[in-house]
Amino acid sequence: MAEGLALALQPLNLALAAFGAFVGTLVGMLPGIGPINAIAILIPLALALDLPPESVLIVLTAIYYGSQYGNSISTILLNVPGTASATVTAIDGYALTQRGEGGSALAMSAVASFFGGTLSILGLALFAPLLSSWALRFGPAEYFALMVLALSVLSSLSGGSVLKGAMATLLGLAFATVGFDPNSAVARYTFGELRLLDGVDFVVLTIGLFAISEVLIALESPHAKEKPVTVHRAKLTEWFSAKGTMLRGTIIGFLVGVLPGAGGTVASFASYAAEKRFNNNQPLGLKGVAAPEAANNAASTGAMIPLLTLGVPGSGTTAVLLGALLAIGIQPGPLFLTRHPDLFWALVGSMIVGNVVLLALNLPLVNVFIRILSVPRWFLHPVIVVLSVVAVYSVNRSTFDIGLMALLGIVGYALRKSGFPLAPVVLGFVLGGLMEKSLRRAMAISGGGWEILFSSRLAVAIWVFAVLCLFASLWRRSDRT
Amino acid sequence: MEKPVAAFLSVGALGYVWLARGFETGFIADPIGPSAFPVAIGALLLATSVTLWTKKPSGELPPVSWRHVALVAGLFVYVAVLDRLGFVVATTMLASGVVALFSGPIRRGVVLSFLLSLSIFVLFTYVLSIPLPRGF
Repeated sequence: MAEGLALALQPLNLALAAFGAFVGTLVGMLPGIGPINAIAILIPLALALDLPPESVLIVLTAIYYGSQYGNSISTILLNVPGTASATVTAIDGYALTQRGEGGSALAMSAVASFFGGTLSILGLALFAPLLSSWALRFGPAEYFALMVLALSVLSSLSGGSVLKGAMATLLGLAFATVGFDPNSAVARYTFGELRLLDGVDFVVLTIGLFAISEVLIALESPHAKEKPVTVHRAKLTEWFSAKGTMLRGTIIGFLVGVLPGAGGTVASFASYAAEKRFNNNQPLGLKGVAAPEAANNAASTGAMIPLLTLGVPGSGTTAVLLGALLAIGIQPGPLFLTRHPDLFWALVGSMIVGNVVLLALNLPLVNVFIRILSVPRWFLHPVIVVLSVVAVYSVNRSTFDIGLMALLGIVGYALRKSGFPLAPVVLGFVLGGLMEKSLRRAMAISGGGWEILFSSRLAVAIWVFAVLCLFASLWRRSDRT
Repeated sequence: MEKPVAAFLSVGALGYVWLARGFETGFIADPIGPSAFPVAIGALLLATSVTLWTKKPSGELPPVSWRHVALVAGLFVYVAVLDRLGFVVATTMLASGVVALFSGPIRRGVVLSFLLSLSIFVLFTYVLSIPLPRGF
């Protein structure tokens, strides 16, 4: 164990970690690129350097953390989230930027990411074997119950009316059904358009809904002046007052992150919802950034558990990471921990180093990053439009997607102007596929009997919890009005 | 603009459910089939949209100007010309257009747009190995 950790502290590996964190941040900042694509793009680079396995691990984890943080930068400053889990950060993060507190939000995001990242690594080291069996107990019936719980409880969290939150979620679910249905070989809602067979891509949906609608809103006042950028000074008290928030976010994130498929997204939404309840639905401000960022990073550590102990990647990013591990000759699976303890500890070491380096690198750079906002509006918005177009085009190399993005931009603008929250659309879109798939899989197992949905104690527990949460929220609302 | 959105979603949900009737499968291993889930979503969306109608939605329209129309139209023109003109030329035009929409200085805007497009083209094609259309 000590050797593995010492390995991570060698000067070469520290330098690699700093390099990876920096490059990852830059690439992750490009809207629409996001962590998965950043890693996928940068893996060949890491492999080409011809390094020993543990150094490759270090570069990759540093790139991963870096790209996640870079993604938070464009989410907080420009309202362009690159991943589903970052859409929650956008709610309060962008509001802070508009109030001139973007620097504080960025610093808080760095601190919370670090907190969630490192604390959850401790959890990984202690509980990896135990938690892998908990992930295995989630069959299709349990997943379906979990999705119903997540959608019904989380859709109203972004504020505004419950009804509009529900409508936004349903709209997201509807978008998720577009495309070829693998279970029945039927093309749904493609209108004969071959380029819709793969469905609407996540990047196209979020860039359209968020980035393009943002530019449309800015066009309402084309001559408005830039707000002066205020220099950020680190405030320890600010961070200290959010320690409970970060701790709760980390625990929720880590536990939910273990579940393959939905971990990161459900984790960040759930931690935000929990924080709202905890603060009696008061505006969260910086805590609204701290909770999802801590949860998100803890979830990405949690997602390593099924990867390392079962060899099952639980998220897009860990799937890419699995590919990289295989490329350097490491086969994660049930025997990984016993056969390669040295590599496991090197990985833990590299994750800690990646987190520390990222914090050390990015806190001083906060004031550099917020200079993005001092770019004159007449040029900032063309840059957003161009980066959006490039991001969307590079997904499928299809101009069709750019047109789709423009249409979704109009949808996003109309929704925002009439008080609909956008985050639930993304939540419904991301979870919809998994929800339908697990329902149909459960039904296929039971041969069409609905009793399978309540056949395990875990599933029943989730249903009970969902019903309780729904009643609690209805109770609360009728209390207030 | 709650009224138009509620109206649009109501009609959209109806069409969504109506289209779902056509999805059919003969697989025994799929008792639920491809249409049940969309029908459920569509029905709920219809119900919630109709509920929104009854809650005195505001009919106030957002300040849509010619600039909004121009941006969306510009994106569609971009779609039409991207492959033919190539990334650098088409994107310079698009970005300069957006500069104009924000009443920026035109000459500087065009130069900056060109530099932006060129550097993205070089970055994507040569560093990230994601080829963008060259045109012509």
